[in-house]
Amino acid sequence: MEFLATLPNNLLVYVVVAHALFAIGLYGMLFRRSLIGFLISLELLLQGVGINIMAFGTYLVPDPMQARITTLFIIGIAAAEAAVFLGIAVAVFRNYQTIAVDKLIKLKG
Amino acid sequence: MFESFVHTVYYLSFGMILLLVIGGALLAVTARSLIYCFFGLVGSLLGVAGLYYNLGSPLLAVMQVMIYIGAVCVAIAFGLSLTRKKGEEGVKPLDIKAAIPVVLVITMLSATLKSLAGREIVASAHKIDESPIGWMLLGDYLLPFELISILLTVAVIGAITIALINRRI
Repeated sequence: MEFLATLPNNLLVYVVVAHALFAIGLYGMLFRRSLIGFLISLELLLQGVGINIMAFGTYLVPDPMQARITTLFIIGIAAAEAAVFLGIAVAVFRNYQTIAVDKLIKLKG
Repeated sequence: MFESFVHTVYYLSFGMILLLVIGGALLAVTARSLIYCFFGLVGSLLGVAGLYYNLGSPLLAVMQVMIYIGAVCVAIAFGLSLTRKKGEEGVKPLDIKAAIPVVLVITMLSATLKSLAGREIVASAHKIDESPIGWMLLGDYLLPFELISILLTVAVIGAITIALINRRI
């Protein structure tokens, strides 16, 4: 019970959760069939990175503000990336009538 | 008595946040229908906002909810409805590729824990004053801040251009 009480303020919990999110996102990127599922997995992976930076910057760095600013920039860049990815997905669907990752092989040699 | 009750509720809510993050992420990558994936993603992002709040950053929690759930998830929902097609949902069957994330993340985690062993915790998440962040964004970090706004403008205009032009890529 004593140990449980320290969990919400423990660096290790955040690190383990962030790595678990990273692994789940990577699994999704490898095994999803469609481009939208790929994008969803990519967002999860970036969440893992953000939690990691926030946890280390909060507990191990004397000035915790730097980690917050870095995470804010990561959120902004992820938003830009999602917009471009969705534009590409819509254009691909319009031209090929499919967004299945396995069928987009026109560039394959 | 009342204090212990409040503490119990706090620990329970933290456990539920962890459950929401991991459970939502698992739903997002394993569900057959992409709509369920979408809702798993929303749950996971909400849980991550809760984690940011627990790390002493209400600002980032609000930003997470506004930007991710308010903007990115709505965009994903539109993309989902514009590109829906039967037979292209679900996941591929498991094969040897599934070892890649497991091995990679176990290696990363063990390396991280090993390097953490000698480090000293210098701060606690519950005593952080976030008010300097605005001054820092308009002071030392002004250039990256402006670059982010230019990047967002260019990305949105580029996405509209790519999606609207009706010719073969």
